Amino acid sequence: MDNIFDITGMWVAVFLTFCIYSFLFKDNPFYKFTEHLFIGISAGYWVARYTQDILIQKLFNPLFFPGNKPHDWWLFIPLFLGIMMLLKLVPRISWASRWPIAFVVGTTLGITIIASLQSDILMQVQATIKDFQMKPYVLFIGADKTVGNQNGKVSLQELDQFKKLLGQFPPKDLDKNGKIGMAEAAKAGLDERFFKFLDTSPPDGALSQAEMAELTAARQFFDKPDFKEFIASADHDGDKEISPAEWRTGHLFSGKWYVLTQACFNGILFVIGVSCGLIYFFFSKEHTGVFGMASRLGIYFLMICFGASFGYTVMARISLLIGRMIDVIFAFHWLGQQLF
Amino acid sequence: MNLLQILQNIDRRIIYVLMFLSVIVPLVKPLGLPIQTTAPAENFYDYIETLKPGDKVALSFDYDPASRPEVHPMALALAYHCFRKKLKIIAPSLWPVGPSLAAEIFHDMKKEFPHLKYGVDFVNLGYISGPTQGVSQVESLCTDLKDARPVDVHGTPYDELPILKGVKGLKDIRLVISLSAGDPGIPGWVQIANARYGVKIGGGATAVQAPQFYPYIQSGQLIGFLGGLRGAAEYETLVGRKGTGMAGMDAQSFAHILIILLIVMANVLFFLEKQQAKWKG
Repeated sequence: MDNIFDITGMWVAVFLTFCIYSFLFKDNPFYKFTEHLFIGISAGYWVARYTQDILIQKLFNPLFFPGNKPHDWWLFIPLFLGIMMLLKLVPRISWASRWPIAFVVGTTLGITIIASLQSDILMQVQATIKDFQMKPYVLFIGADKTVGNQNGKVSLQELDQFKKLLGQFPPKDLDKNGKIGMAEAAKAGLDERFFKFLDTSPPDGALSQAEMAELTAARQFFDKPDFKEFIASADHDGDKEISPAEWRTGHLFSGKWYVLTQACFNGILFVIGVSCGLIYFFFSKEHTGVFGMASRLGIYFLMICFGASFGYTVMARISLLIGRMIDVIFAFHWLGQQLF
Repeated sequence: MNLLQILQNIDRRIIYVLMFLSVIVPLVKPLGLPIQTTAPAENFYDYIETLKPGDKVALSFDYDPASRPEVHPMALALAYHCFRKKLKIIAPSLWPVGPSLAAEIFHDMKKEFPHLKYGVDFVNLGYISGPTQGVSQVESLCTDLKDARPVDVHGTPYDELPILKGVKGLKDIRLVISLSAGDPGIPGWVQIANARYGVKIGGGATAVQAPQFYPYIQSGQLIGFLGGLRGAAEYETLVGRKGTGMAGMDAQSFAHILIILLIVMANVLFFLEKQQAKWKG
């Protein structure tokens, strides 16, 4: 505790906490007093802040007292609109308040509708179906060190680089939970796309021992004496590059079929859940037959979602109680230290 | 009155006392239950680990004292991590009380990192006013920081703050972290800073809001997320700094166990009552 104000504030907070919680026993004047105090102080603080930060700093000063800068006479428009809004309190001319309200609603809608459309609808639609795609199981390192089967080819030199990269895994500084996070992987030279390709069981932003085993399996293959012979035999067209079709004959990553199936299951669940949830809210058709079954499935998904949301709400309320109790315990601990 | 009726009519004050004990006892006598970290927190941690010393990060204080128990511990853990990595923090606020909370964070951090200098290593920009959702505030912060806040919370002009040299708008910095308790907050940052300018956004919010932001994590619009006191505890575990997040987890676990037991008991009593009515009928 630094000073007398901190100590006084701490004990006032403890007293007011007990006053509020006294309501759990029954309503009483202490609770009523604290409730009114809280509302009054909150309202007063916000009025003071808005007056200082908005009315004075952003309206009156630039308009009437700009200092070295020129007067911003355009601010008469928002001043006039603000006064019109207050005319709501005068019954005879309360109609005048509709104009500034319409202006505020219109501009806010114009600004937010595009932003919301992009981030809350379009990107969410994209995210719903992004896992619902069959990842090709063949892995390539491209010339720019990006990873993935994009109908590209990999040269023998890049394969050597890939082999060296595998030799650096796993890096020594593993995460505390025995996993490799993106930061450690980046240090070892594993780029983000390769990281995401491996991080599939489950996709949790870290490579587990099982996921790293994929690299170990690949390294073992590279270490085999007949590796170069395999590459030479796989390069059917003799262009010193391995195409996806040529690589597939080597079955290097065939163990990833199981992992891909799991990733697809999550994607399928997402699509079904979102579709059925939306079907439930479509009321232009009677919910019978297949449509009705989909609607009922949608209800189950929605109920699970509401249950999870309720659980989080309970957690939040208990967290607030814990926060108050920590402050109360700290106060009495401080008192104990002063007395004994 | 039989046992069934007694349990059905249990005085709610008994439940209040049980809840109070389930919170107080673990706080006074912690058990030290292990805390498992989850992917959203780990992704957040990993991303900050990829930043280099000297990189600038914006830590937006979009909450008020009512949400302090949940959001303040994660703010402390995040600030600690940033300063440990020698990152520089720019602290705007979309809520009026945000600057006071930011000042508290920096005051605490100066005790752990005495070499920190205001204006060089961190700056408290102050409150940026605007309508709800924060869309216009975020737009102005991203494009022209000087116009949005010509002075910081102490009245120091923008050009006199070394940390802001070379920063035209927040779209030029590596990461924006929004500590949010409502509107304006994370939605505004995601809708404008991320969607329009491609700024990387990390989020920390109250547990009540957390479910509405999980779609943003899944779509990649948030690089990481901390939800409620649990999220704060996870981040404290990752950075290795004990705080109120970790301290509260034992109490959280016991309180949840009590609630689960009460819910199960209520459901069992409901079905027993129906069964009894059937037998009597």
